[in-house]
Amino acid sequence: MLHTSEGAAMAMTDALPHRDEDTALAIRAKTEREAFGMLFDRWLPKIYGYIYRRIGHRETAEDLASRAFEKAYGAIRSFDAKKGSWSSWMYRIATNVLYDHYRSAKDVVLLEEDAAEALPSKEDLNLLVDRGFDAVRVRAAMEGMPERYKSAIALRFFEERTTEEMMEILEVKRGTLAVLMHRSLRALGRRLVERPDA
Amino acid sequence: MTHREPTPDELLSALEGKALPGDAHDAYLRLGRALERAAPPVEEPDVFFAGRLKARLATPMPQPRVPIAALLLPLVGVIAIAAVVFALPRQNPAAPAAAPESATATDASSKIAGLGGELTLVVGDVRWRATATDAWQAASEGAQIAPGAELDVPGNGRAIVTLDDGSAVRLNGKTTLAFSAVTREAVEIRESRGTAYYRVVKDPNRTFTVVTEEGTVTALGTAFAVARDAEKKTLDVNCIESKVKIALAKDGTKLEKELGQGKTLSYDGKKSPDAGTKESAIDPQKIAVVPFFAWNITQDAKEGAPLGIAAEVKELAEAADNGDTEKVALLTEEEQALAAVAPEPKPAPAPVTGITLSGTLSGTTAKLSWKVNGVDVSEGFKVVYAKQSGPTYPGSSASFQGSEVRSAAIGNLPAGNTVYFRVCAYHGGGCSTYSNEVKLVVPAAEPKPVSGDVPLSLSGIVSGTTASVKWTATGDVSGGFKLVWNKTGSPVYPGDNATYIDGGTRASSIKGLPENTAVFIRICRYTGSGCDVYSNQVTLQTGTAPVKATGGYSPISGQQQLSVQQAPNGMQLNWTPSTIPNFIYYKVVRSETNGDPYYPNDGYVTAISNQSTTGYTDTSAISGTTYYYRICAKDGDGIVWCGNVVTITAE
Repeated sequence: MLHTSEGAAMAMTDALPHRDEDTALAIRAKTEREAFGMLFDRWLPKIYGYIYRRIGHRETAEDLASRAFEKAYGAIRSFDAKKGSWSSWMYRIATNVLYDHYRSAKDVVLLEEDAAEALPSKEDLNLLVDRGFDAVRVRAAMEGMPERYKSAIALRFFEERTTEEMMEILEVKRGTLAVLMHRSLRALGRRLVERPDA
Repeated sequence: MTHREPTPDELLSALEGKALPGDAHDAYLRLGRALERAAPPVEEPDVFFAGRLKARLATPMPQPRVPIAALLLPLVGVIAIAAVVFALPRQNPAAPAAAPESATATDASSKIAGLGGELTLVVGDVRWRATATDAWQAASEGAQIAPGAELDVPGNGRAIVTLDDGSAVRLNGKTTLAFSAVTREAVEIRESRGTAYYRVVKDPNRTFTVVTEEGTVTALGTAFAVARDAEKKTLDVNCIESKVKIALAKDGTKLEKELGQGKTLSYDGKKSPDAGTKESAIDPQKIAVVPFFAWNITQDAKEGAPLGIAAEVKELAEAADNGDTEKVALLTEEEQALAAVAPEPKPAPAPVTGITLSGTLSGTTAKLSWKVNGVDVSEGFKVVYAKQSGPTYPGSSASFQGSEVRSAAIGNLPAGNTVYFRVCAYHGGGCSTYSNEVKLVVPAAEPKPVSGDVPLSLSGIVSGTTASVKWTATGDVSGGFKLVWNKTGSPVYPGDNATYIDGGTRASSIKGLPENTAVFIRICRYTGSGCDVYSNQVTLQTGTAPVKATGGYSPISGQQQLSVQQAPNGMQLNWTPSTIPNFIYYKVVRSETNGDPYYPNDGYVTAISNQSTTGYTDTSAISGTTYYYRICAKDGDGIVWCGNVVTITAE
């Protein structure tokens, strides 16, 4: 995690629902409705927030968060803790719901960018960071980025998922994730540098 | 030393906290940290969102591979009324019958899903199970009906299942149904006993069939209801509107026929179809006072249309549904017997006798207390509340209270809204007894008076229909802000147009404001449900919506006012500082040909990221050339603000 201090890292870790406990709850939820209810209570704010940050529209985010939890509820018996944690499973469902949403809206960008495309220089990137930018610019710059890039950026920097979790959520191996993160940051950096009004 | 770009693996490791190699630059890491700080803020969901969704999920556990998401398809809005069949169980016993071939249920779960249903009304005791092999459990409204689900009304209750396409299946008491197929291609319901009324939305691409042991009834693009006496093996079908197709089979003898509107087909399943069927005309006057049918006419009227022969007896049916016993006396002995099955249950949970609720408001917190008399509350209570009258559990926002508890406080109610409360006796998944309803009007947030010591101070400018504002704040603003505006003054949240902004942000913009209008804008401190502190009010006069064109700019006056003088080493430019919120940089624009130059159309001679810088010397001006200079500034929303143009010839 990109925390500036150990204290901040501790605070954030404590603030998040405990992964193993949630996974144990998810196993129970296969047969116990109450266990799913507890997971719902603990995870709705996270999943809604993840979707809202991507969408920026409350009603749509509510709708998509509903779909994600209804999908999770419908498929909870297929949850396999051996393949990953509850949190990764839930984020994967939410990511797929987002993908379906964009695909239905026909503005989904599927193609990943050419690695040889012009890179932002480190000077430009440093200048960008020095000047600072806000969430409005980030969201605008993310529009039009390939969906996988958006997911990678959002999961890593907004949701603060670990590498291991991201591998589970995006169903990729470490090397693929490394390339994906690298390209996502490059693409976003370039957009922020070149198109502050993106 | 020139630093190279880190490799993907190096970058990922660095993001995990490991050090980058010394020859790799850390610009991406810095960008990542900045991104964490710039995570888009999250606007709170509707205050009732979580409660509603949780209630919707509070259904029996789904079966494997049943795609619940498919149940969420939007309802088809228009109901095509065509036919309703209404069936009454007959009283005369007859010989046993074998199941016809068509009575075999298909395996719906293997079909393409895409249609679902929901239990939308439960009156009295209604049971549910996911499959025939599961144990029965109490059903509650909101339960999702997936293929394989079964419903049973063991006593005198009633239930309504509404399918995603708008079709309705209404169960009388002592009725058992299995939803063997619920897909876009086929709805198939096995009715093993009792009486059900089917109102089916017309869909040429989907069949709708009711299967009984004696035979099947298929809606011909319409709707229908079927009743079966399981002990006597009889099947009666009454077609109220349009027509249905009936297929009967026994001992190798088959009979297929269409039944028209206003007709009844009675089949004694112990005989062959040829010998055991009788067709007759329905007497609307009589059938309209059968309580279950009267209730169905009332339900249909709620959906906007009495059906077929029911239309002419609607008033009679409604009178019967309201308990007019004089008219019910018209019933035959058989119909009286049916009437006894379901003696007048009413759809809504009645306000009750045994729990008396009272409540008051304190700010946005409701303080409730209740008394209980003669009601079993051993499993505790649910305090239920909603913006609409008649909150229920499940379905509405709810708070559980233990059996000993007689008071509760519900906080963070939405300011400016009316909220209805009830308390009900909780019994494993549902409520049995409801209290009276208490209506509380939560006052709109009262802005605190603005004084000289306001912790929030707002300023702003407008261009076209976009307002750009910035503010200062002191004190705890960790809950964020609401940027509110209206056209009448003193905008508040909730109530007026509002945008949530996180507590770390101090500038924003409002796009798409009404043209040529005075708008009033304030920023307020968001408490989670409303605002408690408001800023001063900024009044801005909008112009016309900017024409979407590449390279446009917004003219600005009173700032970025430029003066240019010849200096020994070039052209000396000085300007008044820009006060635009969310400033990114100045662009010093110069053109030799365009008298109305702007960035980015005419390029720039330099960019300046310090907003307080107000001077620049252009050393590249060529003697004898006339230049048009201008100071443009760009903000975080991508708006380019340009001041006056100065024309000067270099010496």
